[in-house]
Amino acid sequence: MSTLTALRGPARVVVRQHRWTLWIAGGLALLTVAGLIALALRSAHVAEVFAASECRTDGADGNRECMQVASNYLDSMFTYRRLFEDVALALMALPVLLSGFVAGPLIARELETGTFKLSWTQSVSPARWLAARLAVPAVLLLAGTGVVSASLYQARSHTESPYPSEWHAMRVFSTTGTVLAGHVLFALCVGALIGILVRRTLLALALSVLVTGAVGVAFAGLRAHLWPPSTVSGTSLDVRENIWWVETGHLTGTGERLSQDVCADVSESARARCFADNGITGHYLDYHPASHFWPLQLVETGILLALAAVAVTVAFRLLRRRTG
Amino acid sequence: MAESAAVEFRIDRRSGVATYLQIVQQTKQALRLGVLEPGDRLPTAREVVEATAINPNTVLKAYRELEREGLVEARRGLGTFVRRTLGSAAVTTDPPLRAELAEWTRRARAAGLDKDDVSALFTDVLDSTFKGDPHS
Amino acid sequence: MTGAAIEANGLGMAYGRRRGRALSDCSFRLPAGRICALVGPNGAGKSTLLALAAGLLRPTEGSVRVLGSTPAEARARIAYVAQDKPLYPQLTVADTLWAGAELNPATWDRAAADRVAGPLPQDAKVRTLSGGQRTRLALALALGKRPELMLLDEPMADLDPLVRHQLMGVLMAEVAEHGTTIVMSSHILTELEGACDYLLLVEGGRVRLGGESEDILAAHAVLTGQVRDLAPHTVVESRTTGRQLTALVRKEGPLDDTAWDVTEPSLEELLLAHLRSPEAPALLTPSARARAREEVVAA
Repeated sequence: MSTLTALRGPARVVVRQHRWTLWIAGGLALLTVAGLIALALRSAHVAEVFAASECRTDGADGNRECMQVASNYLDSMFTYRRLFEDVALALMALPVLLSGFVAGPLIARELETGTFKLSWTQSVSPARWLAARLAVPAVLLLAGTGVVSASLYQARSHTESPYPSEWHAMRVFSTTGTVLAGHVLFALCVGALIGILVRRTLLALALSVLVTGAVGVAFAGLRAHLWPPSTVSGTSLDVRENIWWVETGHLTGTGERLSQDVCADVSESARARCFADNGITGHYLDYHPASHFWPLQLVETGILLALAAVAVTVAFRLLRRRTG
Repeated sequence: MAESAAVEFRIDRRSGVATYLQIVQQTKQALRLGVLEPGDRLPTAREVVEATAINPNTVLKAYRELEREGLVEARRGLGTFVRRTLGSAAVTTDPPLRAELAEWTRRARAAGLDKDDVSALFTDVLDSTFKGDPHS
Repeated sequence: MTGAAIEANGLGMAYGRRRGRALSDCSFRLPAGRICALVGPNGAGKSTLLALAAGLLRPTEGSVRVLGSTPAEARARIAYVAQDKPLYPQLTVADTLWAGAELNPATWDRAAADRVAGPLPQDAKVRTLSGGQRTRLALALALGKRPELMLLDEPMADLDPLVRHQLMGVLMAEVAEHGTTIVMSSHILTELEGACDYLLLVEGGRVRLGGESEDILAAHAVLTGQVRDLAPHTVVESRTTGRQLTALVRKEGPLDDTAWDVTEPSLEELLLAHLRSPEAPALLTPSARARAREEVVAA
């Protein structure tokens, strides 16, 4: 509680110093939420009208007029889905922008232009100064991304779409659950560390964007391996819906796993022989069922928070060592 | 609360006279000329330094000196007040001394000394006569 | 003995190999309640010394204690105005004063800040202010904090003589009322003469003179007379013209005023003589000597 009181002054000063950025960011967030609501209502309406038309998308009704109606409906729903994905992409990019902002204008600029000499000689310690610079964007960004990602989730699931969002699609997985918050906090702390290390506004901004971007890309590629997948095997695989394919391949009699590429080039007729030559007796599939959503989310979030904690600890240590 | 002080000090940094002495001398001058009278309040250290940008300790030192000479007294929380006048009667109304000095000055002039010479001679005699006195 | 406003013991600061040492083995003591002129040529280490006392830098050697604690612990009781008068450029004058109140909630004195910032255009953005206006605002922030110790790095450099006189008056009034200790650095001594009663001459990262201005002046004399041996006095600087010798000496015993014409040097003469004679030994009056480190720890 006392820490909160002590942070109030510096936090209010940070808000006033950067109020234009905050107004713009807040305005964009509001616009996005409003847009999502409008989109959800619109797609629900379009879906309702189509359902009422007694036409079907698979053409089973055999009605020529319905072809056009169905085509228009599919076009609209595809457009909505693409718009949702654009919003999701913007949400994914947000941590990257945030870390650039924190590293550059928020921290390195004070060190570069010398206003730190003003900030650090008030009754507020450099540690509090940094804490306020972390707390303000953390609170605002977590709240903002929370609202936007919740709106996005609601808007996406509001209507039965012919183009459903699969839970494991990158843009869906990254913008639902807790990983977005993890990336936001990680970006914030890395931005703070880089800002303090680099002390040059533009360089810190660029470096921070680069690091956070690279980490984001790395997680997108590696996240499927953050939780042990389920496996099915047999001579023919029973592939269920709504799962996340991780890896598939061949199994030998001894249980050894062979790559999917083995016998991939062989013609259909020679395949049995190729299988026999390689001792392949069946196939396997590693996958994540929908039930792995939360374990995957929480492990990724945990790793991000741990990295964030390391970055922020180093940042505070550096600051302390520099100022005594 | 208190009415404004009766005098204002002018500090000349280039005069070569110590700043606190300038305050002492100007106060005495004001006492001699009747500008300051018993009961008058001297400006506070704060008032003096705000106007002159000198060190407050200098003002306090000057006031201590004036207090030591019995010319002023400090009243706690109220300020520093004039206790008595300073020989203004002797300066302005002692005709014999004045007449003697006037006579001597005339003789000096007749002997060919100009104003500066007279002044220098007078200062020299003054210095040697009062040598050893405090703050001469 | 009154407390020390600043006490430095073997203080050293190196900014890395290339830029060399800004201070080395710097030891002195500044008693509380003084107005101290921190003088020395450009690059002497004045700014580094002030930044160390303000807790903006951590010394690479030795220690500095401020108001009896570390600079970091004393942060709320110190005001510091850096030489370039850093201010948040995107805030207005009114916003800046508001920020001062937010960042110093325990001690903020709005009236004190307004006395100095009053003439400034309240709605003007800081980035549009002139150098003199920035100085005024920076000093307003410092005074509004109502500190026990003010560290001012070249505070008057951007001001015209009239404003300089006025602001110096405001600072002195602050001292008169609250007993604030002030350290002002400058390489122009006349700016500080009259206001300061304590002197620190820093050159080459060391303190060469330290103590009450009066005592330091009284410890020296300008001797004029025929050329002869000046022993036992320490010669700071001497000049011979024909048969006449003029010397600024540090007195080491009674002066023979039958042989010499003896006068007291002006502060400016004294400082210039020391700056021209780097080999003259340092002089710290008793009040300016740092206690040995063990005593400080024990105290």
